[in-house]
Amino acid sequence: MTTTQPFPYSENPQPGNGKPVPPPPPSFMSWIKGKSQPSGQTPRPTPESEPEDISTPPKEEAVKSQTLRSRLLLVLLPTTLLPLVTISAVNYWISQNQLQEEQEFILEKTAFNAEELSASFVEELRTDAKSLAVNPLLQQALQSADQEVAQKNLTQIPIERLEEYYGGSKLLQPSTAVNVYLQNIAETENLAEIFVTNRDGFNVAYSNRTSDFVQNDEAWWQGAKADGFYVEPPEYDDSADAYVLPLSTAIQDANTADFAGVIKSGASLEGLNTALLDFLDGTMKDLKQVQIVDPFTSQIIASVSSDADGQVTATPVSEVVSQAVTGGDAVAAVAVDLKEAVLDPTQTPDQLVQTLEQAHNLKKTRIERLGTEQNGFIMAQFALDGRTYAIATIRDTDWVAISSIETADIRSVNYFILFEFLIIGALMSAIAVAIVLYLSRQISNPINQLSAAANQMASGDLNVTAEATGTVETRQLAGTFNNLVQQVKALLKRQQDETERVQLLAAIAQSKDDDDMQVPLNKHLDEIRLKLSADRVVVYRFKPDMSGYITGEAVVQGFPTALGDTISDPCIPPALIDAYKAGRVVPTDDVMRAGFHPDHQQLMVRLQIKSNLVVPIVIAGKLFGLLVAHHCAQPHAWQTEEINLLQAEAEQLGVSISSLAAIEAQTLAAEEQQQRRQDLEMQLLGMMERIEGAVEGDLTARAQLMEGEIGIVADLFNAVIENLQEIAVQVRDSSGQVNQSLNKNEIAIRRLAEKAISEAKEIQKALGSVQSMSQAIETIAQNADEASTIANSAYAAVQEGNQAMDQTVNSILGLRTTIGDTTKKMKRLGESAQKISQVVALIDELALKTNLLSINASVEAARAGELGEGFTAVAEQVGTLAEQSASATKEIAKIVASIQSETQELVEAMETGTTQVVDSTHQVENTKLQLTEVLHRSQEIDQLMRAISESTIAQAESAQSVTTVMQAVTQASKQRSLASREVAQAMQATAQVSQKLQASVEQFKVD
Amino acid sequence: MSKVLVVDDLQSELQLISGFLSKGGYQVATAINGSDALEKAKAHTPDVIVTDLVMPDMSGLELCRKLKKTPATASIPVIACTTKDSQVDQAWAKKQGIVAYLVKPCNQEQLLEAVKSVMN
Repeated sequence: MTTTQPFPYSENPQPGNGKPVPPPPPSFMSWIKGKSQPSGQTPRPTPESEPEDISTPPKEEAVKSQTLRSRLLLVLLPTTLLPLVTISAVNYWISQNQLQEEQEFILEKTAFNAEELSASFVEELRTDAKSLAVNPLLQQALQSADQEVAQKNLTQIPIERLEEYYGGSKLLQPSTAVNVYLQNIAETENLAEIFVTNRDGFNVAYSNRTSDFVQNDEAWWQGAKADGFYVEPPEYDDSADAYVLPLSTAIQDANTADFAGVIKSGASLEGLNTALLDFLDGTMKDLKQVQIVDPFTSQIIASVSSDADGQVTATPVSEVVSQAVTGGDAVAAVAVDLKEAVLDPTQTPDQLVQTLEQAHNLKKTRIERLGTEQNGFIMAQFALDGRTYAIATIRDTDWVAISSIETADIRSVNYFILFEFLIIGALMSAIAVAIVLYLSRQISNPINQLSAAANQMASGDLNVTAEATGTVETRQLAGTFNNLVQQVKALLKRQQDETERVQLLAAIAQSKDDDDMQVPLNKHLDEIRLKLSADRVVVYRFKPDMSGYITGEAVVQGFPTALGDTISDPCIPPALIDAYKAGRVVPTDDVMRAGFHPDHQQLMVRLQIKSNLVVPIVIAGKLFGLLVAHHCAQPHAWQTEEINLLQAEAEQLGVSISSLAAIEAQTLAAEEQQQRRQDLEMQLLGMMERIEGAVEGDLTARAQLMEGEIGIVADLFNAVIENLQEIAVQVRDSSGQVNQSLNKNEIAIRRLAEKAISEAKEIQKALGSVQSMSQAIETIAQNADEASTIANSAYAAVQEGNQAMDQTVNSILGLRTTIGDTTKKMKRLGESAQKISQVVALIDELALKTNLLSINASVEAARAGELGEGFTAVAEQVGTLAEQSASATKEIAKIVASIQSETQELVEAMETGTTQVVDSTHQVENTKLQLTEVLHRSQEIDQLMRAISESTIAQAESAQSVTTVMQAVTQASKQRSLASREVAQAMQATAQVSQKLQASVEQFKVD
Repeated sequence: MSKVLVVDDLQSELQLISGFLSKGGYQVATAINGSDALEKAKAHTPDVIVTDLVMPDMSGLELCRKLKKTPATASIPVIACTTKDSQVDQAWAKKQGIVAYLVKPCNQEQLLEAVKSVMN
């Protein structure tokens, strides 16, 4: 027996005699990348940290209306704070990344440690079991057990019998020493139970009595025998009153190293849980959970979690066994895949990452293979459904260690850094604002003073001066401002002058005539005079006839005035006028030496002119007048500037006067138009008088062809009247001729009409006769028709009579034949009666002879005596009969005789009848002959009548067509008569129209 | 020698124009009014008629119209020689049958050229 060691709970466990746990490989360490702080300290927030949205940059529009202070604030604050914000943001971002990496590292480290602990926990149990197995006491017990099995051949006995047989102790060879040894071990190792079977699965020893004796049918036993080690899911052990983790280990024979049996021990689950807690405390940090899980069954083996403060607690074992896998089946499935991937070293981590991400929708997956090639494990990290997981597969078991944290929790740690940044940013902003306010006040005070002065100036006070204070720049600004004020003053003065000038020019421009213009023009000329320092300035205006007069003047007091002078200047030839129009300027320094016309010179003397300067005033290409400057005290040499100035003034004046000139031109044009209108009216009046007669019908009236536009109208009228006159004459002549011929024709036409009327009447009479004749013919035709009908019916009656006659003849002839036949039969009847009478005479003779015979007989009989008596009676009877026959014969003879006589009479009557019949037959035939004659006659009548009827129908038709023709003729005659009447009327109407026309035309006077 | 009938109500004008034409080698007849001119035109059938337009009783234009309506004189070209100078006057005169239009005062050259041109 070996001593057991406590489970290694330290960070670097030192397993006793088991396999050493491999240290974390360098590749794992490389995940840190030197960025994380293993100490887990949060990075100190930098004082510059500043939230980004503490101030917004000013808008362009707002800048225009902002004070210097606010503008400084708006410009300087962002300038100061922007770097601060940027640095803070970068810092925050870096520390955020660092924190996340650190958290992920911790997660992996936790999973790694959990794997390490779990692997060594299991390894420890296996080592313990193996060291127990080599104990001599147990080896001895196993050997003796094997011997007993062999002796008793127990392997051949059924399990039921074995259980029955060993049911008492449940051991092959109960040995208190071994059992006590096992009990001690269990107590020392904190095991719930421990028992040992031999190689056949029969109990050899135990710490606590087991329920079965034979174990070789159990899964754990078979698993341990096959694999050397078998772990079962945790179960509750009543005897230990704790959850245990049953572990089965194969035992080897100490000498042969063959399979010698199985040791099964129940390790305390509490022990693993506590060990895990101790091992991870300090590694886990906050808000994480670690589970040791059998992913194939989703059974939790151990579970530890930490809260927000980093306090690590182990979940009670009773809850652990019923806990679910964190992340559920999805994570369990990932773990299963990882477990399977361990067995397939050919799959590279990258391939695995790809496979898993596709299969399980994982994110941010990282996978690394760790450990030795023979006994390796996989470390995986990934994110799934808002949680970040690190999974390490645990060597030598079906288990995995799952360490996880809410992904959101990784970030939440950093929020208080953000808060710190905010506070610092606010403080910095406040300081910056204070500085800016101070600076801006320093700068803006002198500017404000300047601004006040400027405002004063703007309100109209130009006597303001700005005080030079503050910085050099503001002092300079004040000086510049004062200069500006002076310049503005000067400018205003110039503007006033200009305004006056413009007003004067405007007054000139608005004036309606010379008088109206006088006052402003004189004022304006005085200004020009002052500018030139001349003694007199005048405006000389041309009249349409190129004579002229002075219309405006400014003169120094003391010199004679020229205003109102009308000068018919003979010195201005047309050529000069044209030169003036082209803008010619005439400066004369000394008028006395200029060689002017004497008259002109005289004018110069009168006005005391010593030298003059003449510039033209041209308006719209027309020479309006001249602007003339005089020096009267002494001659003056005109300078170019003076000439230019006067030219400019003349131009300006021309512009101003142009409206006046335009108005005058308009007035002139209006007057001319008026004159023209009056002329036209006069011409029209004259023409009206001339052609008045035409209105009354006098076509001999003519308008006078005159000069001017109306002349054409007059001739136009004349042309029309001439034509009209011709037409009137033609009409008069023609209508006269028409009237004459109408008078001649009228009588003839009237006769014609009368004739036509009488003709029509006669035709109508003839038509009447034809119609009555036609009616007569129709009557005849009707009568003939009737006669024919009658003849037809007579013929039919005769035919019927003839037929009746024929029938009578036939009947008579039949009667005759019948009578003949009857007579013949009568005769035969007489002959038959004759023969009957002959027969009767014969019968009578016979009867007589018979009677005689009977008498003879009776006589003879009487003789014969009595014998003949009978015969006598017969004879007598015969005699009687003969007598009766004779009498009958007589009777018949009588009847025949009467028949014969009657027959004779009948024959005679018959013969008489026959004679009569023959007579009748003759008569009938005579009658028939006569009837036939009648028939023929009536047939002839009928034919005649038919002929008459047919011819009368034809006649009637002809008569009808004659009537139609006659009617047409009548109609035509009527129409003709009507037409000739109408012609007569039309002739009369025409005559009337012609007369009227003649009368109308006569109204015109054409000769 | 071609004959020209000159018509004008003013004796002075009549003489002036007649003088021009005579110098130009034409045989000249004169008439002092329209009716006179009509009769003379019918009687002499001149080759050209030169007439004033503005005349009392019958104007030159009426004369021209009457000449054109009379078959015997319809083909005689008529030249106007008048003080009426507007475009309208000229256009109207052309419509009335005037073939050439001279505005007074006209010189001999113009007159002769006009007469010559209408005769061709």
